Amino acid sequence: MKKAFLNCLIAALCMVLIGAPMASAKSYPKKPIKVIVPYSPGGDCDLTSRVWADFAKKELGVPVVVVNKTGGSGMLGTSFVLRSKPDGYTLMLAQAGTALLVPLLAGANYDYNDFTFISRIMTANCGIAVRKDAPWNTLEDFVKDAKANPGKFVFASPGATTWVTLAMTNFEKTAGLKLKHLEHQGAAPAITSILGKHADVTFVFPQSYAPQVKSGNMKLLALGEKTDKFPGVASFEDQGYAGNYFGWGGITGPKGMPKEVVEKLNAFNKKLTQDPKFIQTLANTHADAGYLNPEDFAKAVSNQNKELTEVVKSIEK
Amino acid sequence: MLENIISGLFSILSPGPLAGIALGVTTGLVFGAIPGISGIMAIAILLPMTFYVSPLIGIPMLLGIYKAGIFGGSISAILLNTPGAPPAVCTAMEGYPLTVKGKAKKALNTALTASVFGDAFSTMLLIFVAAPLSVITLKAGPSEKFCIIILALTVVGSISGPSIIKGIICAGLGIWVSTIGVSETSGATRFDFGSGDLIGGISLIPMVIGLLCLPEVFRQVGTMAGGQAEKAKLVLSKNKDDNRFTFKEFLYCLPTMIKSSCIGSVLGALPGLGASPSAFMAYSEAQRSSKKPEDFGKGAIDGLAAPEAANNATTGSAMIPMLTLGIPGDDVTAILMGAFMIQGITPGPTIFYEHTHLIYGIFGGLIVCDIMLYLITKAGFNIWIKLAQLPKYIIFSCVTVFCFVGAYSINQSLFDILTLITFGVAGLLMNKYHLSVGAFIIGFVLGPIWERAYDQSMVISDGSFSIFFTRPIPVFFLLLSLVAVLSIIRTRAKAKQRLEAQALKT
Repeated sequence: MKKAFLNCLIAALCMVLIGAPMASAKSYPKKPIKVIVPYSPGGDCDLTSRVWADFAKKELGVPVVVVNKTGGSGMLGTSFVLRSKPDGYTLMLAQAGTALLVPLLAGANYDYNDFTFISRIMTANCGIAVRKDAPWNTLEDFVKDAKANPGKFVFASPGATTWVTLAMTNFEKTAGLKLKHLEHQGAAPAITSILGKHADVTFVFPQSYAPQVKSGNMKLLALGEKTDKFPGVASFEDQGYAGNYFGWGGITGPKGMPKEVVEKLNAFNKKLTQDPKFIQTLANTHADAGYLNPEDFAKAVSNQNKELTEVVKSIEK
Repeated sequence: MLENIISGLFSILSPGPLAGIALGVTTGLVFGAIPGISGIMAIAILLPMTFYVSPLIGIPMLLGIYKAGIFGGSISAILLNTPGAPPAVCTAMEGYPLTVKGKAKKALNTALTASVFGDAFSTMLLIFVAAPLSVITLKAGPSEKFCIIILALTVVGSISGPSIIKGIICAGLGIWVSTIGVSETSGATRFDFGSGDLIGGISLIPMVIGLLCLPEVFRQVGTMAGGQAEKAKLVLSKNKDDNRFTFKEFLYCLPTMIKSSCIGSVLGALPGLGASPSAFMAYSEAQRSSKKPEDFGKGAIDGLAAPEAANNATTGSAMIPMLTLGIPGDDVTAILMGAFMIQGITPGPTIFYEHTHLIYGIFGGLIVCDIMLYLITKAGFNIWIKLAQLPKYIIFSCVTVFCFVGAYSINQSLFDILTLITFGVAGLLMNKYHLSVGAFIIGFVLGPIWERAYDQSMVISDGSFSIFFTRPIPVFFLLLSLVAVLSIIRTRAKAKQRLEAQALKT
C-alpha cells in the first residue's frame, strides 16, 4: 500500500516536472492583454494599436484591449506602462514622440532605456507638403527661395514637441534656412493653415498629406523614402539630405520582460507584418508595415536618440 | 451622379442602419443624461464595434450617439441642475428654475424642440452648403480666431450674475488654470509645481463635473439634513400649458432659435471651438436681444432655447471640415474620422466623388437621427421625469457614484478624482460667494485656444499687434465685441433702474 502510494507520488511529481516548462511556455498569454494608447482615440497611434489588438486577439487567443490614457503630450500613458509589471500584459505602441522626444524635451521621469523593444511593426513615410499653387516643385526650389528670403516663409508645425517639427528644424539647420515656426496642436490644424494661406510649408505624416495630395489641393516636395504611391516625388536622400525622415511605431513594454514573452510576441509580429490583410488595413491609415526584430529595433531607436539629442542641443544653443 | 445621391439618401431606410441609429440615439441619450458620463465615452466604447459592420450602419450609429449625447446632458441639467458638460451650463441656468416652478415638462419640450431645430438646421447646411462653408474653416487664421474668442469672452458679461467684476475675475482664473501643464508653443511646463500629475494639465471633465454637479449634491444634502424634505420633491404643475411647449412660445422663440442655430453652425465649422462657446454665445446674444431680459436666470423660455439650438447646431457643421478637408473639428469628429479611415474611407476632398452613395446615405442618416432623437426622447420624457421624482436621497447618491465613476473612467487616474473633489469644494464656495462658475469654465475652455491664436498671430506678424487691426475679419469681430460689451452694460444699467423703480414703488 505504502509502496503504491509512493509510486503514485513519484509519478505525479514526474508529470509535474515534465509538464511545468510546457505549461509556462503555453501560459503566456493566459489573461487579457492591455495595450495603452497615450493619446485620445482616433489618432494614428490609437488606430494602429486597435488594428494590432484586433489581429493579436485572434492569434494569441486572449482579449487584447486598447485603453486610452491621455495627458502630458503622451507622458501619462507612457509612464503608466513603464511602471507596470514587465509580465507582457501591459504593452504600448511606442513612437519617436513618446519614446524619445518627450523625455528629451519635457523632462519626463523616464527615457528610451526604460523600454523593452519587442518589434517595430510600422513605418510612416513623412513628407514635406505645400499648396498646389506654390511656386516650388522640388525641395531644391524651396531651399533656394528660402535661403534668399530668410524669415519670410512660414512652417506650419504640428506641435513644438513633435518629432516632425524637430526633424524639420534639423533639416533647416543642414540646409541653412531660416523659417518662421507657426505652432499648432496637431497635423490637421497645420494643414488647415497651409490651405488657408496662413503658412507656406509643412512636414507631416502620410495620413495627413495623402488625402490632400490625392485630391490635388497640395503637392509633395520630398518624402522620407521613394514610393510607388507618389511617383515623381524624390526622397530627401535623393535630393541630397541624408537622415531619418520617416516615422515608426513598434510594440514595446516596460524594461525587464521575460525572454519567452518577447519571443512569442516578436514571432507573432513577424508573421503579422507579412499578412496581406494587416498590410491592407495599415494602408487605410496610410502607414506601411515595417518589421524589425527586437535587437535591430532597439539599435535603431538608440541611433535615432543620439541624432535627436544633437538636434535638441543645437536648438537650445 | 444625381441618382447616386438619391439612392444614397434612401439607402438609409433599411432595417440595419435604422436599428443602428435607434441604438445610437438611445445610448447617447442615456450616457449623456447621466451626470459624469458623456456621449464621447459611449462613442469610444462602441467605436470598435463599427469595424465589423458596414459603414452605413456603424457611422450613423456613432453620429446618433454624438447628437443625442449633447441633448442628454440637457436632461440632467434641467431636472437635477447637474449639467453633465459645459454646453449645458446655460441650459441649467434657465431650465432648472422652470423645473422648480413645476414646469419641468415645458422645459424639456422646449429644449428638445430647440435642439432638434438647431440639429436639423446644421444638417441641412451640411448637405447643401458644405463646400462653400468649408471656406470659412480655411479663412479663419490665427488673428481671426483671436478676435472671435474675444467676442466669445464677452459672454462673461451675461452670465456673471450680479457682479461683472467677479465674473471677469472668474474668467481670468479659468484662463490661468488652463495654462497649467505643457505649453504647445514652447514645450515648456508651467505651474506644475514639480508634480508629474499636473504636467498633464487639469482634465476638463473631472473639473467640470466637480464644479457643476457636486455642489448641487452638497446643496441637496443640506436641504434634506435641514429637515426640509418636502421642499426637495420634484413637483409637476397641474396646468396643462405648463407641460407643453406651446405654439405661441415656439413663435416667440423662433428668431432666437434661428440666430442661435446660425451661431452654432458657424462656430461649429471652426475647428477647435465646439459646442460650449456656441452655447454661451447664443445665450448671451439671446439675453441681449430679448424682449424680457430680466427673466433670464429665472426661467426664460428663449434663454433656454438659445443654448440648446446652438449646441446641437454645432454637430452638423463640425462634420463639414472633417468631410470636406479631412480636418477634425473636435475630439468627437476626430474619433469619427478614425471610424471612417478604418473602413478604408479617407475623409477629405475626394470623398464626395469616391463614395457618393455612402456619403449621401450618411447625410440621410443625419436626418433620420434628428427625427429619431425627437421621437425617442419625447417617448422617454415620462421615464426621465418619473426618475427625477424618486426620493432625492436615491437620485443624488446615484449621481455622486456616477460622477466619481465618470471622472475616473477618463484616464483611470486618481489625480482626476482629486481634481473632481477639489473643484467640487471650489464650486460650493463659488456659489456661496456669488462667483460665476460658468465664467470660470468659459475661461478654462477658451484659454488654450486664445493663447495659441495669440502666439501664432505674433509669429506671423513678427510681434506687432497691427495684425489684429489691419485685416478685415479680425476688425469686424473686434467691433462686434465692442458692441456686445456696450450693449451688456446698457442692459445691466436698465435692469438696475427697473429694480430701483420697483423698490421705490413698494
